Amino acid sequence: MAERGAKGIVFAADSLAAVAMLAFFITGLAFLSAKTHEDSGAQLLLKKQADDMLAALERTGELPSMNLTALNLSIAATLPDEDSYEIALDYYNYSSGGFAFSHAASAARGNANRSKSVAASQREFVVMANGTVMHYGIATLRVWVG
Amino acid sequence: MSLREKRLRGQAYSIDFAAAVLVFVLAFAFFLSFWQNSILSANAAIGRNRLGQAALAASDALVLTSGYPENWEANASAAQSIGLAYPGLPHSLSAAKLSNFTGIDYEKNRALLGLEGGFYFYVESADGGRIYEAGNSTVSGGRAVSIARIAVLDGKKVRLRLVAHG
Repeated sequence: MAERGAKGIVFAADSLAAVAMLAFFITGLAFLSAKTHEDSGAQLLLKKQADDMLAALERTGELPSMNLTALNLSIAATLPDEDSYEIALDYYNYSSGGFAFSHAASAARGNANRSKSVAASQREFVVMANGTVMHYGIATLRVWVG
Repeated sequence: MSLREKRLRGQAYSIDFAAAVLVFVLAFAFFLSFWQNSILSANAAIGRNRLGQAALAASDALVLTSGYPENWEANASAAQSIGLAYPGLPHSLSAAKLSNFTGIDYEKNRALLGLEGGFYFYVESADGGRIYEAGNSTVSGGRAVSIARIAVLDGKKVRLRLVAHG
């Protein structure tokens, strides 16, 4: 009987080890298999689209216009329909050699909280009038699919 | 131990063995099929990712660079790489470069863009009107990746769409 008990313990340890190894193996295999399906380029493309959008807005002079409504309409019309976005602008006033925070504004299409992957781009710009720097601004554009 | 007992024991072992072999064969067949599917699906994903990366690199070259030589539009047949932006002004597209790009032979364009398969390219205004287009819009090879980029043409924002397929 003592022999039987000892045998039982050996078998239980063997089977536990075998099941654990099998579980590790299958989990590893499933993880690697799932990894191959990830689209590594999608996030990069969103980042590039956000960079493109802010650069284009600066080139057209819309970014320094300080007109959030026009900016929002412009972004909505230009970004691909499948993209959602949030534009946030921070403005600083220039006075006596320094910048002081003036105000912030933001607009969005869609809800970023519902998306797993959000790409962001940031651009700094200055607002000039009569050859003088009036404002300094930071634009942050977050883009996601959905 | 009688002969009958011995026989019974032997039979019991062979049933155990047969059951174990059956379970093992079933598990092995399942694993083999899973493995085969995983390899096929990984190969498809690798192909898709390669196509996506090639298309993204080509779109970068088009939007951010002016190509080589910088004034390749003056002699499109001598172009060694294609870029549509003004020199030193990424995102600002040159209409002359665009019209020359769309005029270049499809096969040459494909090689200059570094795409192994086919491609279709167009530039559209914010209202969706197509201004320039080049390439082959018929998707071949079953895989296609579409890249949308934003740039400025003649002071207005435009969308570039590059569809790589193959």
